[in-house]
Amino acid sequence: MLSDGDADRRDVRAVSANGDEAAFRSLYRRHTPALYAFACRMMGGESPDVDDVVQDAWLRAVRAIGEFGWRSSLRTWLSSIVLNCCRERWREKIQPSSDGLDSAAPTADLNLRLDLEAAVAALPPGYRAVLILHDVEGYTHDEIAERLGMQPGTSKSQLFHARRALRNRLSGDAPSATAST
Amino acid sequence: MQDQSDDFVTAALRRLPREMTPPPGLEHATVASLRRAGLLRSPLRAGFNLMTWVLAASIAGIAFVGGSMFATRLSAPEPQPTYALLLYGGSSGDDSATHANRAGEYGAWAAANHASGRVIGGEALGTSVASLAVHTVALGTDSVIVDDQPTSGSDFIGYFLVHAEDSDAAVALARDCPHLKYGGRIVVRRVWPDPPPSVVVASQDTGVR
Repeated sequence: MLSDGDADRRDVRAVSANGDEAAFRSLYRRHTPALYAFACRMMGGESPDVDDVVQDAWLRAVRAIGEFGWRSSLRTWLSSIVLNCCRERWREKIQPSSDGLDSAAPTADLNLRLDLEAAVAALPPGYRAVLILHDVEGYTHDEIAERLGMQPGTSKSQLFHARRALRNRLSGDAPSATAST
Repeated sequence: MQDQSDDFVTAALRRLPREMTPPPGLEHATVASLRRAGLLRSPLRAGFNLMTWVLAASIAGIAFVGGSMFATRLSAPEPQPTYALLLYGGSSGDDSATHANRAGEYGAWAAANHASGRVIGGEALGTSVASLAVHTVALGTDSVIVDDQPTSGSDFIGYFLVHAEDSDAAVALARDCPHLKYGGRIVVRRVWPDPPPSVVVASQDTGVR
C-alpha cells in the first residue's frame, strides 16, 4: 500500500501530465478535509466563502501543479495556496483599520457559545491567521513570517496579542481586538 | 502576560480537529470548475473489453461484447449521434445452459454490430439478489435509502451504447437485439449533449412506442 507521500507523487504526476480526473479526485479526497478545516478557521467559520476558497485553491493548485518542486510536502504547499486565497478574500471584504486590525471582526455570542472555535473565529483576521498557523497548524514563526510577508518578530507579537484576545474572549471579558500590536 | 491560561489555551488549540468533512457538493463543483478551465480530462470509460464482458456474462447470464469505445470515438471523424439502448426485464431463472446460449447470442450480436461501427460500449448490471437492492442517495442528507425489495426500475439489467444516424436507425438496431427474444424490452434514448431526448420503447410484443 502506498504511503500518502507516494500516492501524492503518483497523483500529481498523473494530473500534471494528463489532467487525470481520477488522480485529481484522489488528491482532493486525501487533502480537502484538512484544507477545508484550515479554510474554515481562517475565514471565521463555515460559509459559502469557505467553499469558494477551497475551490479556488484547487484551481490554482492544478494550474501550477507542474511546477511544484517537492521542496515541501504537498499538504504544506496546498495550505499556502489556501492561505493566499483567504487573505485575498479578507482584502476584498475588509477595510483594515489604521492599526492593521479588523475593527469589524465578527462577534460570537460568547454568552451562549464559549467554545474555542467560536472564540478563534471571532478574532480579527490578522490575529487569527498567526494563531491558527502557529498553535493549530504548527508552523514556526519564520514560516509564518514568510507566508504572511512579515518579520518573525511581528509574528511573535501578533501571536502574543492573539492569545491574549482569545483568552479574554473565553473568559467573557470585553474583546480586546483593537489592542495595538 | 504569559501565564497558565495561555498554556491551557495553546493546548486546547492543539487539540482542535485538523480535518473537517467538506460539503458533499464541493468535490463535484471543484471538478466541474477544473473541467471548465480545461485542466481536467473527463474520465473515459476503459471501454469494453471482450473478456471482461464474457466474464460478466458468465456471472450475470447475459453478454455484451464489443471493442474499445475510446478507440472508436477517437477514430471516427464525424461520429453519428449516440444512443443508449436500455435493457429491461427478460427471462430470469435460466439454467446455466440457457445462460450460456443467451450470452453467446448477445455476444454475437454485439460483436457483429461493433464490427460495423454501431455498438460502441455497454454494461451489464448485476442480477444477484444483493445487487438488485436500490440505494437512493440525495444531496444534502446523510441518509441512504436502501430498498431490498425494489420494484420499479429493478429490472434494468444493462445497456448498450450505439452510434446511429437517427432514432429510427437506433430503434431498428434495438429490434434486432436478442434481448427482445427473451421477453425483455429496450428503451432507446439519445445521449446528451445531443438534442433533448426522445424516448421510444421497443419490445417483441408491442413494437415501437
